[in-house]
Amino acid sequence: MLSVYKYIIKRSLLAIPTLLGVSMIIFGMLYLAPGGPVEVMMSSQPASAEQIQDIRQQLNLDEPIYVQYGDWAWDALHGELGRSWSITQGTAVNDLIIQRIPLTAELALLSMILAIAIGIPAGIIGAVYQDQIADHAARVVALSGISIPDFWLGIMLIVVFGVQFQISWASGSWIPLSESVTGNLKHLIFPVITLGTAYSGLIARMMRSEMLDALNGGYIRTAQAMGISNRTIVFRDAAKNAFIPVLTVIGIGLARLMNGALLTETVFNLPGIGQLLVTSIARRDYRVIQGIVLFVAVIFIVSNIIVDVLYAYLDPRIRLSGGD
Amino acid sequence: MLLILVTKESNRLMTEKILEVDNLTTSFDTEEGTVRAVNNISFSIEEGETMGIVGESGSGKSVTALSVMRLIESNGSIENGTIHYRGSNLLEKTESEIQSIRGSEISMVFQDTLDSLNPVYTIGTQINRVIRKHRDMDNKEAREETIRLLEQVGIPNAEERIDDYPHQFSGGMRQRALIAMAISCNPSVLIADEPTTALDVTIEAQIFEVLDKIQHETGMSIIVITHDLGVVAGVCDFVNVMYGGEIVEKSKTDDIFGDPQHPYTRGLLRSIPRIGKEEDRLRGIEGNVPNPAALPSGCTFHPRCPHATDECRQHDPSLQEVKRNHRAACIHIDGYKSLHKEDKEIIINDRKKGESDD
Ligand SMILES: Nc1ncnc2c1ncn2[C@@H]1O[C@H](COP(=O)(O)OP(=O)(O)OP(=O)(O)O)[C@@H](O)[C@H]1O
Ligand code: SF4
Ligand SMILES: [Mg+2]
Repeated sequence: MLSVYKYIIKRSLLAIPTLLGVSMIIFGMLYLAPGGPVEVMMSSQPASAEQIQDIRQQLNLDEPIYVQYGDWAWDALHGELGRSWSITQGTAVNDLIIQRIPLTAELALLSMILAIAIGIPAGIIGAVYQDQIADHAARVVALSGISIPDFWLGIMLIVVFGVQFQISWASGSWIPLSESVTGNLKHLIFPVITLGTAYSGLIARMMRSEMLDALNGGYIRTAQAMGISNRTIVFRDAAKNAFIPVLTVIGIGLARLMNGALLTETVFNLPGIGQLLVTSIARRDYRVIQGIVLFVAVIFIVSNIIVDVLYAYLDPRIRLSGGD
Repeated sequence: MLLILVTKESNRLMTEKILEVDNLTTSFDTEEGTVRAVNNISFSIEEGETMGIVGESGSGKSVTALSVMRLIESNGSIENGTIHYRGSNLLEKTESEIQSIRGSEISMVFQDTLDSLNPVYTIGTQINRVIRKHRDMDNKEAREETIRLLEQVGIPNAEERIDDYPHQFSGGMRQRALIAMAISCNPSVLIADEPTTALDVTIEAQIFEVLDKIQHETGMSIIVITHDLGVVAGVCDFVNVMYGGEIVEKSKTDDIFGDPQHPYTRGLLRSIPRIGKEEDRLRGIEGNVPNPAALPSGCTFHPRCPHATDECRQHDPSLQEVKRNHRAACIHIDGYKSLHKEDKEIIINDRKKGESDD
């Protein structure tokens, strides 16, 4: 078991340079983008060159970029992502994120659960009934999940259920979990369907091909020759082997879910991280944008480590060799 | 009719045949058409006997074994024949009946490939569940039994190694573990399909020693499948030589080696490499195994046979007793009764029938 800890530490150390690189890109890209921050901020009201210069100074924008990066990165390292520059001026980016994270986390988590709940069984069915009707049906569902754009499905759901059938909770907006659990969940049903189905297709497809591989394994024949029932063979022998690589996709999918959350939150008018990012981009609120992207990157890296460790835990070949 | 059946039945009981395969034909649907991988073969084995099936790659050895296990892949089917185990026809069993026979009555060891044991479960877990499936034991008893079995097949430190994963075992140890699993429920028949092909000769000898020891203790019957006549000479009581899905010669091991009848068997014997004479390998049988989708007419061996005549190209010889307790399928063997006119007609009719069945 010791090697599992060693493995975790090793993976975490490897994440440091990644994070450093990511943070530099995040910081630098925004400064390369056209339209200086202050000009955009001031575009609604006429401002003199002097005023703009004042603000630039306030925000330390006159310093060389590496000094600015150094200040920001140092604060970020201490968990301080700076303060918003725009309308919500002065609010700590940390607070903005913390306010909105529960909604996005809930959305992502529920969508992931839905995606796994659909994708894994669909993949298993597809493989077990390869090229039979059940397989084709599962494939059609999976393919439509992949190819229908998230936002389009979201809009269609709103149009059909919210507008056409006048179901109040179907047309978007949100109720905090603390106010009403059922209200909160109801409002998330369609966003979760929108986001979860898109992702379930990917999981189903991967699970199917991994299952087909596993079912061809020599150990399946061995188990059959020992009189083990087909059910056990499918679920215990094949599915466990097939699930290990699928887990990696699920981990990487978390980033995809974050992307999806951005669109879904906008379509359903949900005040989550995604929506915050969209409004911040519109306002050139650089500190908030950087904060969110860095935050998402950290989540992504951490979830990748968790997935890798889980992978190693599930696959004795990696676990016992210390992951080399 | 009834009378005949009864006599047949009592015969079976008298000779204590454990397993009797009659006229087994197994075919596969492939892109090239229907492939008859096993064609009308019969054999039987008594308690405590060791039978060999030998032949080149593709001759139908594994398909024979898998037919007995009823584990033919979904594109294949047993077209014809019966497989009696202790008097009842396995081909009439339901899937769940056959599952309770597999592993407990008739068991099988495959050649160890890297994945013949499940990589994500320990050796112990995998043997344990077979024991618990077929024997009335709780987890703890089954674990003790597993340790005993691992010791029996010669795995040192079995008590510790039981919790290893397959990749932590060497090839030879995995093969032993596979054997331990296959014998875990005291089967009456063990089919070993090339159990030592991937191993070096020393380990091979050890594995067969283990099998021999277990056979002495339990009285099980063993079917050894191999393309290695050396193995046959070492362990088998009698042998079936297969070519192109058919049995072309069968007899006691000593007779096969001492006085081989079929040209194919003779070719095989010539191809056994002798120590210090590696070039002997090259003196094997020229040509290749026939494509089972397009078997040659008449005797399937004729394209490679040094004694082939026109008659061989026309008539498919049946397996006949050519000497006492020694059967072979070759027209040009001295003891072979030449094909009478009636025989020819029967053969031609049979063939027509086979074609119209498809
Ligand atoms: N599932 C299948 N589909 C189509 N053809 C098959 C299938 N299984 C076996 N065959 C064919 O049946 C023939 C006999 O195969 P089999 O595996 O019994 O050979 P073998 O004697 O065991 O050879 P080897 O020594 O290589 O194991 C081969 O020509 C093979 O191509
Ligand atoms: S029947 Fe003819 S071709 Fe076949 S083995 Fe005998 S001699 Fe050779
Ligand atoms: Mg084979």
